[in-house]
Amino acid sequence: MTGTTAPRWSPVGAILRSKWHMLFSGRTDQTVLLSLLGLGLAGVVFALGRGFFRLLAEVRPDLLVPALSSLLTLLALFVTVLALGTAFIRLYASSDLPLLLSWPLSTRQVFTVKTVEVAAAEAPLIVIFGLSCMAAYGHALGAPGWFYLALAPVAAVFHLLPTGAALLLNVAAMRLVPAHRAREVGVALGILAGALAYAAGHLVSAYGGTAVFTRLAESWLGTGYLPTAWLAAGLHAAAADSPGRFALGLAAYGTVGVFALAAGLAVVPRLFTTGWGGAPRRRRAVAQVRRFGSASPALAMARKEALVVLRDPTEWAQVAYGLVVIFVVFISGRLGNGGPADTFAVSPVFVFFIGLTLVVTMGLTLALGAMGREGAARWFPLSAPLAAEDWVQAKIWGVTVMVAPVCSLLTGLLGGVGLGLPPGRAVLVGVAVLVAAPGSLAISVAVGAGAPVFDSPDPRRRVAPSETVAHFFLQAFYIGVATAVFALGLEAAPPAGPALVAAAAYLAYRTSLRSAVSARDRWE
Amino acid sequence: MIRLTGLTKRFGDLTAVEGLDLSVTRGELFGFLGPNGAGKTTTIRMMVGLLRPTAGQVHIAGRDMAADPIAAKARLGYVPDEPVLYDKLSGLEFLQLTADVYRVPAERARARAAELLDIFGLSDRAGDPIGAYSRGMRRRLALVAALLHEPEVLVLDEPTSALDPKAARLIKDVLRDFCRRGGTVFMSTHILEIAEAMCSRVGIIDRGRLIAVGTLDELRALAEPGGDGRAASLEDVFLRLTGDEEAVEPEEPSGTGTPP
Repeated sequence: MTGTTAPRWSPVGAILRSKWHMLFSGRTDQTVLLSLLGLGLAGVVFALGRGFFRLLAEVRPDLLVPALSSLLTLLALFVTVLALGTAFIRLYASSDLPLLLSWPLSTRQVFTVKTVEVAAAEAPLIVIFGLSCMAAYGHALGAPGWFYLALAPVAAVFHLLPTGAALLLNVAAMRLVPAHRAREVGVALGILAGALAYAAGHLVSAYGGTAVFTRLAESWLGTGYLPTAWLAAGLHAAAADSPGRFALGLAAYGTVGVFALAAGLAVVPRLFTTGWGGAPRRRRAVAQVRRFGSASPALAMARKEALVVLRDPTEWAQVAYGLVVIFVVFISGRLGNGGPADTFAVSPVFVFFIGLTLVVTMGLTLALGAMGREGAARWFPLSAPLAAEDWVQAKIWGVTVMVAPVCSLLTGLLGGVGLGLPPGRAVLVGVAVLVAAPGSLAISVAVGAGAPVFDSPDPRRRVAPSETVAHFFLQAFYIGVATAVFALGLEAAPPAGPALVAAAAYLAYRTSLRSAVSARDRWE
Repeated sequence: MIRLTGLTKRFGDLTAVEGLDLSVTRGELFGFLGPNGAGKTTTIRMMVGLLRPTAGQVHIAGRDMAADPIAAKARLGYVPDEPVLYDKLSGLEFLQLTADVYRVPAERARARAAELLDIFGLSDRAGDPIGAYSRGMRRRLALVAALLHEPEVLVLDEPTSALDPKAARLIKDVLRDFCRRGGTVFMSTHILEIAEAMCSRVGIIDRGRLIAVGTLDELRALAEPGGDGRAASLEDVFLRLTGDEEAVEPEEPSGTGTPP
């Protein structure tokens, strides 16, 4: 040994460096593929944005800055929601936080690491959507070369406000949500953000991008009071080769961002370590033992199924995503030219078809993964004196009580209020969906029982992929048969429609039940 | 009370348990020992109906697990090595589910649940979601659930892991009391002191084969006294029989064990 040397990295730098290595080491192919996909997406956003801003510059040049401002505001809000989910997981469900806190680091250093993790997770979004949109703005307005170089500090500064806001909102939210639920709440927020993005994307394509963005620019999102509007004004100045006004806009936005992040970094560690950032424990008294009642094993398991699903936000976020997709698809179909809804808009058969599609969509999360949802707790029903048939029936009915009434009601409302069906017909369609649901959900449960995946926390991956594909074919067949018999029944006499659907559902139910019970025997 | 006959389990080419014959009588607290991967958990999973044996039979309280699984399981209480429960239910809701699935009358279930929650120190947390429980609390709740329907046989996989000394002591007392009242306990453990202190008989499994069964004295007789003249401990016996002791000469066990 020839004396000591100073470490090459600060503790925070060393931790971040090792995390960076863990993220990318051995994943070169994956990184390259994702980078190419990101670049491609950024290219699409750039092309669309350039076209939009060029058009706007010709027809409504007064809306240029509000349009950019509203887009940046939407992006900032979207990033904040995602960062909130990421911060939930990084702060409250992090596997390495106890280790970091046990190291000789200050609390602030530990939370700086966590903050960088949150910001880094959102960086690709800002680069793909934010930078390409800003570059499109500059290109459409013929910005000078330095404009594009100036986008680098803009991207760095853009992070500050959503990250700081997410940190502060996160601690406030965790007063309401216990730490052991942080991961599921974070995942649910991510799924809902995805659903919103999907809905927004479809609305843009349905109405036409120019119309939507012009409306947005004219709304509160385009007002000059928001920090993003200052940034937009600065970028507009940069595009007009005015570096001074650009710096002013960037500095104004940056000041708010730095303040938000500094507040987050100052307040969050203190609140976290003093325990303020945790939800107060709510306990119920032992007197509840009085609520014990008697139910058959199948009914008790069905009740358990419903309770477990109703209390899991990731399940409902996934269901909400599916419902958003279905409604957006059908609504945008009506708005577009020559969509299927235009042809069959007032047909009860078409409304029934939509209702059954809703059932399948909800069942895709709740019923297909019903067996897999047992997870590592499956030892309980397997070692209990519970017949396989009772267990499968419990799964089917536990899901049916949640899905069937909701879909029936939504279909009735959609038919009666949204698509102008006479009230009697709307009720008839609602009833038909109600009686058709158990058949569809039984098919989903049975397919899921064929190859359940017990160790997946993701509701979408609780069944083998091959079974998911089979599920779509079987459901398409069932929807086809149920819709056909509903149409036949309606032609003969209106009440015969739901009656024939009930018969088809019963057949599907019995067949699926037998199939699921025999599949259970093959699990080993 | 528990009878295993020629119990065998194969996973493809791997034989996890082979030709296991064993009887445990009423009132016995039987310890099932073995090194990691010896086949303890696989045996237990076949006993409680989680796995189907490749060959052989399991009888619980006179009921064949393959032919009449509902009746056999109704007489059984089981706590797995890692008792993962339904995190979204409260402790009380899980007990209610257990009572309904095991068809315990409501009045009886209410009284048993209150009594057992009190014994295991879970009364004030019974309304909390299981997701907020510590590992030790989950294990205690699983044991409450296993005892709720007053089973004739308790099968426990590593019952004292993840427990603090106080809870471990409590569980030992509860199990002894259960046996005194005529119940039968079959438990696996790798903590030899627990087996030595609690079990009336012990079985040792290694590489899927039961290599020794007997009382502690019978097992000690299998191992020569230590070099210092002291009587062999269960640890000595275990290491000797499972061949993990460097000084041990290869030797077939004889007499007390089921022939391999």
